[in-house]
Amino acid sequence: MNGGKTRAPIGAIVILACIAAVAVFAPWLAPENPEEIVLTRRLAPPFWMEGGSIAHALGTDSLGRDILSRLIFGSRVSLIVGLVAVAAGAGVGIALGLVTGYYGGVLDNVIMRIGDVQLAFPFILLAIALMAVLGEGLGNVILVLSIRSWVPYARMVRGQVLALKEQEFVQAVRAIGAKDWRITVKHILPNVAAPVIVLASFSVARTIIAEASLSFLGLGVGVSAATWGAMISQGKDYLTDAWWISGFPGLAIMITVLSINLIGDWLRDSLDPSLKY
Amino acid sequence: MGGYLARRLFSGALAILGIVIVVFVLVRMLGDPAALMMPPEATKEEIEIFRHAYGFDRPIHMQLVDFMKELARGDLGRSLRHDEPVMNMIMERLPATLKLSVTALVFSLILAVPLGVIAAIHRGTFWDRATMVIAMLGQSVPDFWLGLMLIYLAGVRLRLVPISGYGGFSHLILPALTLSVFPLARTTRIVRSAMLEVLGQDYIRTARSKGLSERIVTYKHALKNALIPVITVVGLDLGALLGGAVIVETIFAWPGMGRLVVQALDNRDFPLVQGGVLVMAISYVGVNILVDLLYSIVDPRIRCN
Repeated sequence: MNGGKTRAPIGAIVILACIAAVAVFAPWLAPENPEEIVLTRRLAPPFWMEGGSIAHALGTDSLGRDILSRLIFGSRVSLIVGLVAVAAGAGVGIALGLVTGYYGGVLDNVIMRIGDVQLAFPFILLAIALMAVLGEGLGNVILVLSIRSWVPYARMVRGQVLALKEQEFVQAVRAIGAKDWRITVKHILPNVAAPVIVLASFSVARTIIAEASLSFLGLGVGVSAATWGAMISQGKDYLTDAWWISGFPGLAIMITVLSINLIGDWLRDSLDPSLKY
Repeated sequence: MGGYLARRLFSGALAILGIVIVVFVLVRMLGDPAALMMPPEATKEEIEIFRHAYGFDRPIHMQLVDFMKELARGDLGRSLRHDEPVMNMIMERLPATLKLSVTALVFSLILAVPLGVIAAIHRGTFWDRATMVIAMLGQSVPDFWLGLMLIYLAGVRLRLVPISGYGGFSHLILPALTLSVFPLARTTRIVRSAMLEVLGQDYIRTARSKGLSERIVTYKHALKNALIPVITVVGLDLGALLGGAVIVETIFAWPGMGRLVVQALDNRDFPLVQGGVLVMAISYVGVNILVDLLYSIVDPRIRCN
């Protein structure tokens, strides 16, 4: 974008690394048990406001739970769901894209039509319905959000395969007797790696927001679980008196997603200059 | 062109049919509406009568066939909870959703086009970087959180605008603003890169070498061409917004389609969910086809392919 020169977003990488470290070491970093309810200290403000104390640096929620500790534990859910759901969705999408692109035919038609159906509809509604059927839980959230993400990978990989399989290098490998799976995995897959990595970075960002949205609606990991989306939801009835309950988890989501987006932008500019937007 | 349109309409119809069937089956897995609709003291017989009256005791594929038959007559059935024709309920909510999505789109375009142009012509400067940072932020903020913070700041602290409900333009500002942020950010970035690409073209150099002022070159020659890719994204955004801004409508108690369907899901109001989803899918697919057509009108090069 800047004449081919792209600087690595050091700040974003450092921030994301810190958030990942916080998620991994949450039990050691959190000052308190995130689920501990102490009603006598409910709605305490952050430390710099009147009545706040450093013991609860970011304040407490309506049940007296420590916001900072909940934020620290919440990072786990966001990152796990973001990474696992995208990995699962991308894995399935890549596999389907390779198969449909390479073999074409009825299977190709059917799978691509299923993709059309999914894209013909705002996903959040489907996710709401699916979560209502499946019930709360980490596994279900990951399942539902990975269903969301396979289509773009399948489409992109399929397109690349269609373009690549007529290329001379693929025909050459076929001429020396290589098997289909070997051609696709060894010779075609590496060629689609760059756009897949770029797409995956942005989908992690989108998935983290989607997870937060589901949690916000009470259809996530669990109503009382310490997730950023659920925390925002728990604070929404206390906006007037205690903005910090909803305020901080939203900031956490924004900073995380922003870092990932910046890294994704950089990856796209340095790995794949043909993808402009 | 005609063949292309026919193909698009066919695959669009197929997609809509697919989503309707998926939702039809999915809502029936939510549980028995009789358990929610009937009073707790209802006897087994009464529940059976209820289920029989709505056909819920029939095999699911038979229910689907019945639904399709009625659909072919333009009948979406009656809401279980409100005992009103689903069609009427949707028609009541549709204007609110239209109003909200179109306003949000207008907000985003009014800002995105000038911002993108400024960033592109001042490429590499402070203004460019500032615009891009803001756009990046806009793409990273969860809309429901932004909505809550706007309610807190503009509604509760500053008391500038009503914080929820449906009414005049003042009720529209916060939800539309919230909804516009993501499309605003994305469109700004697209306008910028499209402008950068167009500004490097030969015909821009020609226009400049003819001695035209930079302003005319920028706005008449460059912007017009740079807006072509913008149409696609705006179309996608409109489709998505029409599909119901489920969460934003919930936060602001906006009586639109999204909230209608989410409430219907909660109530296991099968006919209402099915009808709402059908209308959303039709508008989503319809807008996308329209955008494709518009695209080929604006850019004759596409028509040839």
